[in-house]
Amino acid sequence: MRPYAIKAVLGAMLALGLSGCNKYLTGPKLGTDPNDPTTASNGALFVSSEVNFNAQLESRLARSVCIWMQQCGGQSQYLALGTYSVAEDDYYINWSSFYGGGGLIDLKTIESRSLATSDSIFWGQATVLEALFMGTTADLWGDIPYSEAANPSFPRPHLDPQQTVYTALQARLDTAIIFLAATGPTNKGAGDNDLVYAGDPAKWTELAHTLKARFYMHVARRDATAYANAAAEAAQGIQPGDDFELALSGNGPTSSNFWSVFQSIFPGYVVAGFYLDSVMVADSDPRLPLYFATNANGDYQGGKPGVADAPSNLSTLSSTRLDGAFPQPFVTWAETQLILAEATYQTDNTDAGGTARGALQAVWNSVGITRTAPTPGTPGPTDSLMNAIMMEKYISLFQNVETWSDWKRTGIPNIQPPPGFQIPRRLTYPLSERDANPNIPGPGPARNWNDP
Amino acid sequence: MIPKRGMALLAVLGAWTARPAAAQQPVTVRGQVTSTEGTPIAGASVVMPSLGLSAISRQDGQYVILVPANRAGGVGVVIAARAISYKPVSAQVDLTQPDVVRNFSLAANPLQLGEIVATGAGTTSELEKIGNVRNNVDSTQLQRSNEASVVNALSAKAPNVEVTSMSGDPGASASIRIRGVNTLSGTSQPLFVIDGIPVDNSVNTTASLDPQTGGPQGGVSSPNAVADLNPDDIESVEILKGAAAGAIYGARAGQGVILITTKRGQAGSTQYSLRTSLELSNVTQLPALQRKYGQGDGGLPDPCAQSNTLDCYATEDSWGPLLAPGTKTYDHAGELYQTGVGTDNELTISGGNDRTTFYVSTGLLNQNGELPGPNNSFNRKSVRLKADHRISNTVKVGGNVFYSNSQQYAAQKGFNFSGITWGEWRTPPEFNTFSDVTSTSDQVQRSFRFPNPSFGNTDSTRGYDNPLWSADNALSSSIAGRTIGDVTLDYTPRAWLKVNETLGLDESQDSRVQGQPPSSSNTPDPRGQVIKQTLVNTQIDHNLVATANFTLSQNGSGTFTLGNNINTRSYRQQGDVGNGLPDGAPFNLTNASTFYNPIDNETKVRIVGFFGQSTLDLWRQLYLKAGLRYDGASAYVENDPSASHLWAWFPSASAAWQFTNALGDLGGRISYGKLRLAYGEVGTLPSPYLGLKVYRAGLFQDFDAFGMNSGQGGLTGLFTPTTKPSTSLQPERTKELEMGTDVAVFGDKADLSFTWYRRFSSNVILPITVPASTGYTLEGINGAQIRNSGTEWAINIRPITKRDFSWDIGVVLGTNRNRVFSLHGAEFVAFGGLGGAIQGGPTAVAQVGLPLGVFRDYDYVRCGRGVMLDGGTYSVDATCTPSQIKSHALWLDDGTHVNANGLGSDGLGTPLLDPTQRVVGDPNPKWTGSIRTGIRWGHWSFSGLLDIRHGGVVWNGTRAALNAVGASRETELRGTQVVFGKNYMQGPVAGPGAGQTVTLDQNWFQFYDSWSFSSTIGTPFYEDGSFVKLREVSVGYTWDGGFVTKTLGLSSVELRVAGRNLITWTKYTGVDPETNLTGSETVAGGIDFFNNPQSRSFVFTATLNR
Repeated sequence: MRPYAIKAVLGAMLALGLSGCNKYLTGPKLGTDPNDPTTASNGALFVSSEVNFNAQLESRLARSVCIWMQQCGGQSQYLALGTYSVAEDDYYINWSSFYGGGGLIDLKTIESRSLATSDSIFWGQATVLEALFMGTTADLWGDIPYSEAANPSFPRPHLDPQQTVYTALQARLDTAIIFLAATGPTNKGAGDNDLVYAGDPAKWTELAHTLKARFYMHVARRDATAYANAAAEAAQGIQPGDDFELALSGNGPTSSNFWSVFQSIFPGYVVAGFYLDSVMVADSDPRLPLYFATNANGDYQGGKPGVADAPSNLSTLSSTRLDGAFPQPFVTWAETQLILAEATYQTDNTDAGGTARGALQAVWNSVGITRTAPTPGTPGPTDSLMNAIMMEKYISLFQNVETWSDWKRTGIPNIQPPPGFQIPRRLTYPLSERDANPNIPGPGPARNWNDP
Repeated sequence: MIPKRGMALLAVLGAWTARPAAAQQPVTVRGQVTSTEGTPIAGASVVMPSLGLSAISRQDGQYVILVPANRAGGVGVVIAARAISYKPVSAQVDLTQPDVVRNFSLAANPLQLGEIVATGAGTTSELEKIGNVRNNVDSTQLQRSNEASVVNALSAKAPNVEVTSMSGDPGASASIRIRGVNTLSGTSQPLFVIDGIPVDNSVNTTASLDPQTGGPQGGVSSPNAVADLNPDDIESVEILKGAAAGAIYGARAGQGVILITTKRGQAGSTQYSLRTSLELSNVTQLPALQRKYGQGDGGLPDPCAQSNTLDCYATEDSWGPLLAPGTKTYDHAGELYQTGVGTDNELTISGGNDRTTFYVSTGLLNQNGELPGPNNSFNRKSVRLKADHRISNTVKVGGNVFYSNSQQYAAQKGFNFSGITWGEWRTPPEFNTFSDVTSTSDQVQRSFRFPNPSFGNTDSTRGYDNPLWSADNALSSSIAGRTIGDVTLDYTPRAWLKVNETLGLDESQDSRVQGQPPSSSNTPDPRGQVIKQTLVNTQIDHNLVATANFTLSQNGSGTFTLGNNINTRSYRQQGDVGNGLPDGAPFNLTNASTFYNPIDNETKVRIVGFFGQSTLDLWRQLYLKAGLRYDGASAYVENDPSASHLWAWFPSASAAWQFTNALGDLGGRISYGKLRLAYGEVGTLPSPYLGLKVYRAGLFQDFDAFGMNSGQGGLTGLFTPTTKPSTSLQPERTKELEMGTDVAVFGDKADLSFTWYRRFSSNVILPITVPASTGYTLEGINGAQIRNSGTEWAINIRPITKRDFSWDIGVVLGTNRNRVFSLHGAEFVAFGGLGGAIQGGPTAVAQVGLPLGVFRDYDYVRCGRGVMLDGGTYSVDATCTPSQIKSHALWLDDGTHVNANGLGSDGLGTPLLDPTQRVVGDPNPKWTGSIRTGIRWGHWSFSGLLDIRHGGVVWNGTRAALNAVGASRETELRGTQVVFGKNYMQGPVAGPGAGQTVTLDQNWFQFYDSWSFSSTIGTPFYEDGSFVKLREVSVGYTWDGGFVTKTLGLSSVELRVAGRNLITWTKYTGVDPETNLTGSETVAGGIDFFNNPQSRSFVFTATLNR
């Protein structure tokens, strides 16, 4: 009798309980997240993507390249960057942010939704931004996952050869340029959610052309037609005043240029680089006080790579560059002109049409340099014109990771590592990506395909 | 569900209270309880079960029970006396006379046989019937530990219950590990249950709200929530270690269960106890610093430090010149620490009559740490009222309310530019830290990196904060109000049926402020920071248990229990971080000039459980138990819309065989013997919301730990979080087999207990790294398998048990071997370390085939690892002999080779850095144990406890960082000539540079033998963390003579002098090896990085009893 009663009670409790309790265990804040939104508008995703790009290109990656290219000097715990020490996982945050939230995965969401709502302009803007992200990634790491990246069907994306990535980006930029020209009521674009160009399709088109020019230059050592293509694209590229840069409010550390935040927390870790500082002092470059501050003695004195020096001896970055609201220039009219100059020169060492000199002169004039652009001499890197173009690009693209790419391609400027050290020519694949993705073969080669 | 059942019970209750009473005369039963040696036994309980009456004996062993007239009148009423550590005695008394005298003489019962033990969720068992090992800590042991928190008090009390105090700061949290760790993503801490109510024991770090100010690695050592509890209120603690013991808590028992029972009043005369104590504390162990070389680099003095140039930054290095003879230097290791003073006052009043008992306590704890300044204290005010009333012979109601207000003011620690030791221990020896403030009115601080601030300069960072200034001015406070309460109803409708219902609440509201004034070095804005945070935790628990006793025959009886548990927990946190404060402004958000996004999050978790348990006692020697719990949890639901994983079963079974009842006492040698066998399954809940696809607004982080808000210019920015939504998560499940024996020998002169267990945890939720190129970096999956197996030994010897002299010794030993079996295909998963802006430094990982928590870090190039140099053209192993390969000899360079990163050595005869991370150390101890002794000699008593940990490395990151800046004692070797392998870094060496004489220089220490942002070597800093610690020692005198009773009117006075952590024997060269930077909730352990030191103390206590 008793076992039956017990079973009956147990059975009744379970029956009663399970039906009632399933309800008790589900519902608001239990089966739904009480904290985070489950949807995000294209606009909100686009804001994040632009901010993310800004953040990544002002991050430790930019500080490292600045020190490696000897535009900056590293002191204290950044001293080792001057001896070209590259820790395996230092740039993992950059890698994962290029692909993750605020990067490729969200841009792809914007693109697919824009196609569904026939918003060609938004598709074009997201695609140009995607090209900026992926082109930067391809330049830094070489072969990268792209065609299978940020796609739920591919849990372990394969590497695409660097060459393929650039080809694909050129094609996507071509389509983006066409889409950006679309008209009609559904083509709204990012509008006010575009922190850089306020949604102006014309400016995005200019950016697309400059990016095409930049990417042609990246592959120029492998592709004989690249210089001509680059020159043609640069001619349609960014106009004065349309630089791709993002001004934050500078109001507080989370709304400020990272260079300023870094300086406020780690004062004196990144100072003026001895090489760039010396060049600018020798040239009496008018940009010098905009780039660097004087040291305690009132002199401009940069830090040598790997050499510790007293903070009071060294020039820090200028207050202009350390202003939290300073818009870090990422893709500029000056770069476009200098690509035009270099590409023209490379297709015609004599600069017969004067396009190369004209472009260089225009850049110089814009910053108040009164010298006249030199005429070409002996073809090659030591050519006075070539050297002047690339040195100007090196100075003009201060703090921009593109200088690393230019140096790899041209060897200009002729910076030297401290004895016994080597300047790295690419970033190694992050350890965590390699561990999780068997399609990534080890840290990768010493050089990328475009850097033979 | 609840109201219906409650109504039914109330109706029954009403019927019983209406019962009429019979008229009789009252009876007084009195007598004395003594031991067989004649010593009076205080605190023995004398009960008359059939009448529901009881009393507790006073200090002189006397007891009185008043039997009311309406219940007296029986002949042959059973009366029983029981006291802890004595065998109970029952007798019969006739209640026909008005005054009855009944004395009891109790034999010693060191094995506590026959005692009723709480086994969780309202169930109890007699000790000898338990099929798993029992570990219990009683109130005397808790008091003798002189710890402010019950978690710390459990240190060295039971085998394989490893307690690690995070630091010696007042109120600092402590972690507790039971039989190793078997989870990866959640907390490794056991479930705490107080009087049947599960309570919160989380640790929150306010500094986590600002990633720059630091997560658990920086900030302060916050308390764990159980520190709110007053240990004086605790009667006993049962540690349910194994899965079989914890299975009644099902889905929440995966890391073990700590059952705490608070004291209750006893019928009889009202007892008063006033305890007051004074604690004087000091730090235990400090690192060795050099005092020979001054601030500077390359042997040259720093120009900024030397000159009076205003507002210049000096180097952080002590690589300057040899200080001139007569230069005043300072003891930066220890100069800051003072004697901490604390007081603890506790008053308890308890008593009651045959129907009603009560216990009232109030406590006032006030601890001050060893640092100067107002920000180094913990105090707790608490009150408790626990009472029960027998409404009728069958119905008893009880209430239990505890309220405490705990306040912690903590000093900055760890990886933190405001950290006390971070700044202090790096300070060059000739810098006077105490001349820190140029003007008290404008709060200007002077640090060794910013030695000459201009007047009023508060908006420049100091590089590192002056520690004295930080201790005085950096505020980190937590003010927590906590209420834990329950109401219980016991209903015994039949002699064989007992029903218990408990409804409990645990609620805490913690208000936090962290403030760093202008000129702080640790904040993203040098003008300072204020963080305000509010944490609200609510837990409501309902437990209904019915237990029926049954008797099958003379040789077979048992119980059957059914229960239901409903639990809901919610947690809310809100926080705001404001940066940039005006000079002299209070830490108020309205003074901040810029703000981060507010932190605002909330979680809610519900559980419904049904459980059944049956016990069967056969032939008075074989005790069987089987149980089953069926748990539904909301955290399972959301991951699986079909709700097929909503419910999970947790079975358990155990057997205990008292073989001495069958086999006899083996010629008197074995007086008691039991074999135990138990199996059980328990679970660990997944975190809520892991399965939901969401977007987030937040920061894009830089490698150096600051971030940019995803929304800018007034626009919202949302992005996909890095963690991929999980699909159909199931509970983590631990299956455990345990067996052992308990034996008493030589007539209870000694007893020993042995336990072997193996617990296998599967479906362990693993934050697995997914390729970042997929758009996500992590995903939580049921992917890992972890095994813990080990043995536990306990031996107690009682050589002397005389009336006026007794001596006992106890030894416990626990071994645990942890091994990670599977990680869903990954070789290893990192789950802890220094975090933030760190390259190198320890990475705690789960790695297949190795114990959980092993460290991966960088080593020097060694033979036998296939290392290639010079761009892959030079094989290290080709230059090594087979024996050098076997011994992983240190490979010494001739100054010509470079490693895979293109980095050379420090020159001829020195090693190269190996840029591949490898497993370099295991922080898990080989075994842990303790030796305890107690001596009672007349009125004197003495006790001592040695805590032993053998094996397990600790990363001495402090030494590593101090090497980089030239502040550690070992950097005095600069300029000396050594030969690697011979008189420096002893051990086998190989390579073309072997045997060469090398002059150690700044470059060597800075880049090849240190930790910094630019130096990654790890292996020299993993040190043996073994220790032997004099955890507790005390001498007491109990005074209960005529003067005390007649003149003072007290029953006894006890005076006691105790020491806590007085001596630590260890080879570890940093602060105390018992330390952990990363907080007590993380699975990672063994990380020391500028953590605040541990404390030791002398405690003087006077207890007045009446």
